[in-house]
Parts: sequence; C-alpha cells; structure tokens
Amino acid sequence: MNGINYVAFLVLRRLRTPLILLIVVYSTCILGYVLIPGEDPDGNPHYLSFFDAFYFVSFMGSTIGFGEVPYEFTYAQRFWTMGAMYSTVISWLYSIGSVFAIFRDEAFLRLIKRTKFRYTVKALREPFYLVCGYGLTGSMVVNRLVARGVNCVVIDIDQERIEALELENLAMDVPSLCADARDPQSLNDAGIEHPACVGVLCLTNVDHVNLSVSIASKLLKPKRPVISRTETQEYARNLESFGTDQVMYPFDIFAEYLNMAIHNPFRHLVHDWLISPAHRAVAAEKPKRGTWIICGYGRFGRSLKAYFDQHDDVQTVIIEPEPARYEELGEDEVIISGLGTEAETLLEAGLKDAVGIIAGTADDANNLSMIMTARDLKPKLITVARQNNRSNHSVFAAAKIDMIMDPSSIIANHILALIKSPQLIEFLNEVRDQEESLCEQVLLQLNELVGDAELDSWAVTINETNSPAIYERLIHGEEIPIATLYQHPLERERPLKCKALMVKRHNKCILIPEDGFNLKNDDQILLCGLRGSSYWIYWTLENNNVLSYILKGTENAPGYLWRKLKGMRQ
Amino acid sequence: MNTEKVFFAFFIVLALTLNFGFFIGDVDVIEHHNVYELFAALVISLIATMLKLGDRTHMGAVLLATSLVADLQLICAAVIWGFVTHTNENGIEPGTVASIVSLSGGALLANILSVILLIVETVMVRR
Repeated sequence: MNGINYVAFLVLRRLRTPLILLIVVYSTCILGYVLIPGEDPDGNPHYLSFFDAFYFVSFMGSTIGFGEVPYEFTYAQRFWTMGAMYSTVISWLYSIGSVFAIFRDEAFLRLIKRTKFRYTVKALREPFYLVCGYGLTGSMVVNRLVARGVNCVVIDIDQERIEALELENLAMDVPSLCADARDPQSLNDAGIEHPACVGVLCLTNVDHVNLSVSIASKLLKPKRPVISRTETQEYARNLESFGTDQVMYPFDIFAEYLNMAIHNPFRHLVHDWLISPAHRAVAAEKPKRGTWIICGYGRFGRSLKAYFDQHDDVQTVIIEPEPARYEELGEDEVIISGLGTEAETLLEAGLKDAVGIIAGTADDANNLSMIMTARDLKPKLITVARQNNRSNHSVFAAAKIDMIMDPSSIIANHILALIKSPQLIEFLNEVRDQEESLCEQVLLQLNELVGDAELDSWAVTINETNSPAIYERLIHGEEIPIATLYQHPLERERPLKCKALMVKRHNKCILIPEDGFNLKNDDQILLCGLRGSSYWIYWTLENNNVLSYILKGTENAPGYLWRKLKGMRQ
Repeated sequence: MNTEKVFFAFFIVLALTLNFGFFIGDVDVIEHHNVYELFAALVISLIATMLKLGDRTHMGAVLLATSLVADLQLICAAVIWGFVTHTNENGIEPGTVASIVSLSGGALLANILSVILLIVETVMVRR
C-alpha cells in the first residue's frame, strides 16, 4: 500500500458526500431561478438565463451578495432566494465541517504519522539500530545509544511509551512508531530491510513478539546481528536455534555474574567495570563461600542453582512455597517449604550459618521483606535481591542491599557492551578461562588509568581504511610497538589514559599485550581508558606526521619538494 | 447487491441518456437542442464524477477519468452558450450552436466509454 496515495484516497472518499450535496443544492437553486419568471423594469416577463442564475447563486451561496441582478426580483423569486440562501449556507458549513473532521480524525492522523515515519526511516543514510519495544530496557538502550551518537528507530505497541519517547528530549531525532512489531508491514516501515539497518534489538516484554521479530530479521538478512531478550529458557533455546546472535536471558546472566562474584572476585570486578562503566561494585570483604539461602525457586532460582552446583564449596538451601516447583530436585537437596518473609522459615533454613541470602521471587515487596527480616536476624549477611519493577528503584537503593538484580539494566548494559565493540564480550569470554592473577593485574591497571572516572572501551582495526598511517609503515616492514598508541599526539612524553586489553590476530586472542608487542596488519585491538583518549588515538592511526612524531620525535616534511630539500641538506 | 454500484450505474447511464437527448438533432439549429437538457446532463455528470472520487480500483480510476472528460466538455459547452448569449449582439448564431453541440458530442463519446467500462466490469464479476 502506498502511503501518500492512500491518504489522498481517504480524503477524496470522505469528500464525496459533501461535494455531491453542494452540486445538488447549487443545481436545484440555479434551476429554480431559471424557471421562475421575473420582470424587467417595464413590467415585461423576463427569465433569468442559466448564466445569470449561476452568477447569482455563486455570490449568494458564498454570502457575498451583490444584490438582485439583472433586474429587481419579484416576490416569487425572493421566496426562492430565501430557501436558496439557507440551503447553500448549510451545505457549505457541512462541507467545510467534514473537511475539518477529516483532519481531526484519529485514523487519518495515524495514517499521516505512519507515512511521515516511513519517509523519515527511508531517508536515513547513517547506520541505525531497529529497537522493538521501548519499555525500561528499550529506553535505557536507546538513551545510551543516542548519547554515543548512534541512530535508532523505535517500534512499540503502547502509544504512551511512544509519547514518553517524544518527551524524552534526546540529542538525536529518533523516529518512532506505535504499532505491533509482529506485523511485517510495521517492521518494513521501520526499515528492517533498509540497507543502513545494522542490527535489530528485540526488547519487548512479550517473548513471542521478540521471537517473531528475530525470525523475520534473520530470514530477511541472515548476516545482520539480532539481539533479543527473553524471559523463559524455552524461548532462549528457540531463539538460539535459528541463529539469533545474542540471546539475553537476564536470570542466567545475573546468576553467572553472582557466581563469579563468589568464586572469582577479581574477574567479577573486571567484568563489572567494563560492562557498566559508571558503576563500581566494591569488593565486599565478606566471606562468600558457604551456604546460600535462595528464596524462590522460579526461573531465577533455577539459574542460580545451576551455577552454584558447579562448585563444591557452595551449598544451597531453597525456600519455596509451591511444591510443584521443586519436585524435580533430588532427595539430598535442602528445601524449606514457605515464603521466606517470616523469621521462622528463615531460621529453619539455617540462616545463622548462612553467608548470604538471595531474595529472588517475582514480588518486590516480598523480596525487600525477606532481606530486612534476614538482616535483622544476622546483620553480617550478604544480601542479594531481585528487583522486578523499575519504579521501586529508590526503595531498593535505600535498603542498602549488596547486589541488586535488575533485569532491565542488566540487559541494557550487555547490549551496550555488544554494540560498543563485539571484542569486549570476546575479551570477557576469554578472561573466563584465565587465572585470577591476570584479572587482578588488569584491575590494577584499570585503577591506575581511570581511577574514579568513567571507564570506556572501544576497538580499532589496523588496516588501510581505519589506520592508513600505521598500515603504510607496517607494509614497509617497520616495527611499531603497541605502546605507540598510548602516546599523546601533541606531547609524546605524556601518556594517554588508555591501554590495550586484547589484540585479536587471526582468530587468536592475545590478552593484555606487553608495551613492546609489535603490531601487524589486520590486528583488532580492544582498548580501554578515558573516553577522551579515543579521539587522540585516531590522530596517531590516521595522520602520518603525527605517527612519525610519536615514533621519532620529529615531524615528517609534509610536501614532496620540502622532503627533497631536507634530504639534500643531510 | 452493492448500493454504491447501483447509484453509480444510475447516474452514469442517466448522464449518457441526457447527453444523447441533447446531442440529437441538427447540429446548427438551436431549437433542436434544449438548454435544460444540457444543464441536467452537466449536473448528473458532475455527480457521477463525485461518486468515483476515492475509488482505489483500476476500473474506478479509468471511470473517473472518462467522466472528468465528459464534465470538461459539457462545462465548455455551457460556458460558450452562456457567454455568447450575453455578449453577442445578434444572439446565438448557427456556428456557435454547432460548436456547442459538437462539444456535447465529445462528452457523449466519453459517456459511452464510461458505460462500456461499466458493462465490462459488470460482466467480469460473475456473482
């Protein structure tokens, strides 16, 4: 369906009745004037011609009123004029009214909006992400992407959320559409087939919608990345089965994260620092290995248990009111039937000997109640709570809980890390298999680099288009150590606040390369540091003179002639 | 039965018959051509055009075009008639009558086309 045409047809169709009414009223009036006999000043009978009648009705109908032409009217004609005046004015009012009604019509306005949206998306030339769902996660992701200068297009089914987006006052224009993302036509309008669409993010709170958008995207463009969130394990497996690039299952992500915090505190800190840059989890100097109480054995509880069971030094006690949920567990597991909000149940679960409690039910009030009760009984307990509703943020923050599991921010952070640089996730995966000492070393370096400032990470590639200066020198066989990148292009003695975390060469990852590590073409380097440093690095990568200054301390002669002269003098 | 179709068929056929009634007779004899018939033909043809506004089918678009042609020709004929009667000292002359009638003849052709298209459409719908 062609939008503009459709709008035009709709308007025309609505105009049919008013136009026909006008024609009928006008023609009746004209005919009346032609048929009713008048008189000329001499008293002879005179009939208005069609021209005279049309002339008269035209100015009468538009309430201009030039008077009675060509001769003064007879009473018969005036009677007819009375009727004609009212009927033409009423039919005009009706016609104009219906034109205005069209412009105020919901369906019409929606159509106009939709058409405008389609054209805005079509006109996008810069790469953009298609974000389906502007809930909590969606708004966080879009806000941060826009802050990094990345274009987004948003679809959401709820008009209120779209209005919220319009009120958000983002730095960039984000085209938004209120429509069902399952509808292929809407996806099409939102640019799922647009060549500049570099990725699809399915962040709606309905798994099935995420699934159908992911499938649509994978079918249309198999190579384009699709990131989808999901709330259930079944959908997670389903999404993975057809090659969705990243499936965000927040319970699993957090369970892994918590597990890491218990067993590999340094790795956990590195992970935390890189994924959520502004946030700094201080390593709680509390013993973490021992017995953990998990309240609620739903999706979250299951994920936690699966991770905890991988290690022998962590035991779990489960508190769950519904027997159906823990039926599958073995005989030797400790299960307490109850909600976990009363001291009695908690004590029965062995709270006095436990190191931590995880309030993981789907009810925020219950979760908070468990934490408060448990802390009263044992103040030194490590507390972990699941926050389901974003609006409860301030309450959870006030409760001073050691770790808060907030699904929307977990997903938003992960997606942002992925979009920033896919190498970051690769690095984190690589680190998973490394010793804790390496992570400790990384942590020290990071601390030295940025201190309390926000840590950013970005990736650069050594090739002809992205770093022509280095590429050319490498081709001529020069050796360039990676530390070159850490030097300031204006003062080479002053180091930039950045460091390479990983170099990827021929699908092999070299973690934390030494300063003397020599670069090669086609290396992908993951750097981290202060955001400002990334701009300076591009000078070194792209400008041959800057590179020469950094390497030798002197600038190259820029022109051919000058270079010749310089050569002669030497 | 589609009421819209009935209306349209009625008006388009009426436009044709009125137009034909006006057209028939000696081409330059004013007495053979009734001014009321021209008026009626014009009004009915305009209404038929309005009935095709906003029709998104291909056939609807073509019908809109043919009836617009008929409107245009009839309006031309009416304007010439009115203008000449009021401005020419000798009143209406046989030459003017001939041009008015031939213009309405053109409109007649357009109306015939409309009706043929209508018949084609009706025959194609086997319901």
